[in-house]
Amino acid sequence: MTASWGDVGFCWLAMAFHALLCYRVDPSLSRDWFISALRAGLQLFALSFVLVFLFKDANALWVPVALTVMLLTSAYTAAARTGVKRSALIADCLTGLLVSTLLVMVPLMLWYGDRRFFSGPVVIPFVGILLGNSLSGLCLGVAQWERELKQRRPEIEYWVSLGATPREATRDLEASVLRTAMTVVINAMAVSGIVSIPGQVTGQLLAGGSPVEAVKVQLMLLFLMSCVIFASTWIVLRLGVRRHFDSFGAMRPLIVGGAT
Amino acid sequence: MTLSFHNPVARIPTWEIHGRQRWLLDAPTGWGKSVWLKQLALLRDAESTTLSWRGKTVTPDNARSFRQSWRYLAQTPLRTSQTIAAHLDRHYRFRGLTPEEAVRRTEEIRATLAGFGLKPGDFARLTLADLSGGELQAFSLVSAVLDAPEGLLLDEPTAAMDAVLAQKVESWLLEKFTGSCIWVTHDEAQRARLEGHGLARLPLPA
Repeated sequence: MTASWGDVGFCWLAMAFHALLCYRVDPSLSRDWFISALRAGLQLFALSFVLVFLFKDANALWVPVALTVMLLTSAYTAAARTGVKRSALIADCLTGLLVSTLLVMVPLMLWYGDRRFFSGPVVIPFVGILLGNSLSGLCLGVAQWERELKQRRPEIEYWVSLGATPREATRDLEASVLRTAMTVVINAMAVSGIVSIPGQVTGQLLAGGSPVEAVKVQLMLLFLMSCVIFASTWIVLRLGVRRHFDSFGAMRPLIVGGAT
Repeated sequence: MTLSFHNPVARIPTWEIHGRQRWLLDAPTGWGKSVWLKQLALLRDAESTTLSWRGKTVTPDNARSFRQSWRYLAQTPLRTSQTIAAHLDRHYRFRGLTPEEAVRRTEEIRATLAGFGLKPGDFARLTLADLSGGELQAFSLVSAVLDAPEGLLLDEPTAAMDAVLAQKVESWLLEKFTGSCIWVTHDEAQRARLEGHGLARLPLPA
């Protein structure tokens, strides 16, 4: 399947019609929708040039630069979705995403043992899909963590006052946050192939690829995505305990406009 | 047994409690009584507080055992959708009680509340949110006292109770609990009764 700019424009018109309907219900949602669509257009258009540059002409050293930009953007987005754009939270998200991605990518590269896997045309889209999809789970988890730490402060302080460590006092919350983060990928795996055909499979099928090959790669992505979501969320929670509690296990005071 | 508190940012920066001294804290609304009690319980500004307890400085390593010995009761008790049984189960796991001890203690709480004329019902079905404000305060206070802590930091522990229940709970506490305490109250009648029981007013800084 191929697409002309006219085809893209037709789909844009369909979206604009729905966004206008939405404007009557919630103007701010409609505005966000338009802005996101505009961003998607500009970013993907720019990406096509960047990928051509990276895959064909550029020095291989540009690959780590591209991966770094992807990681930084993901960490910033995950933290910003909580409404608390604090540098410490961005740093925690960056650490979580970096460590969890390395934890799956390094063994995978060693397993392949093939230098082609290290090349830009493979590693950039692979990490891109991994990070992009993991981001939804991490965002939901981190947002819930920051929100409920504020809302459930009296409860958490109660358990601390009883002698619980911060980890013990937030154990219920930790389990609930991990469940929220993992729900996205667990649902995706549960309905894969029955309700939905994952994006990567669709992409390969539309490009004329083999369905079996597409499914194998998609399965790899789903399994690794679940690892990245779990590990990154867990790391952010562990680091979050250090941000929200002092060395005596007491919750740090609230900062106006922030989470704590 | 001396508890020595020092925190330069606190409303009362330095305070010592010797033996089984019991203090009454009565200060105007907004003075910062709750904050001060929390500082004493190392639940706030802990890193800028120097606390000496049982002859040793409280550090992050022994803060847990200090908090288990000196119980802080917040002005508003914990109100969650957790059943009372599940709440007590978690409570007693932190206290290190065996399941048999936990069952005995739970029955003791039930009997004490019944002695006050309260009928809290089935702990396995009722949640903390099902209790009224006064019932919740009585439950919270009874479960803390039965843990036999060394000291209690009580932030208006009977404020949500009617006068009759407040007196019953107060008398039970003064008879049952033998440790030190700091009791915050705004109720003039209660203040007079507590002073009659030997609680001394905590001097406020000028």
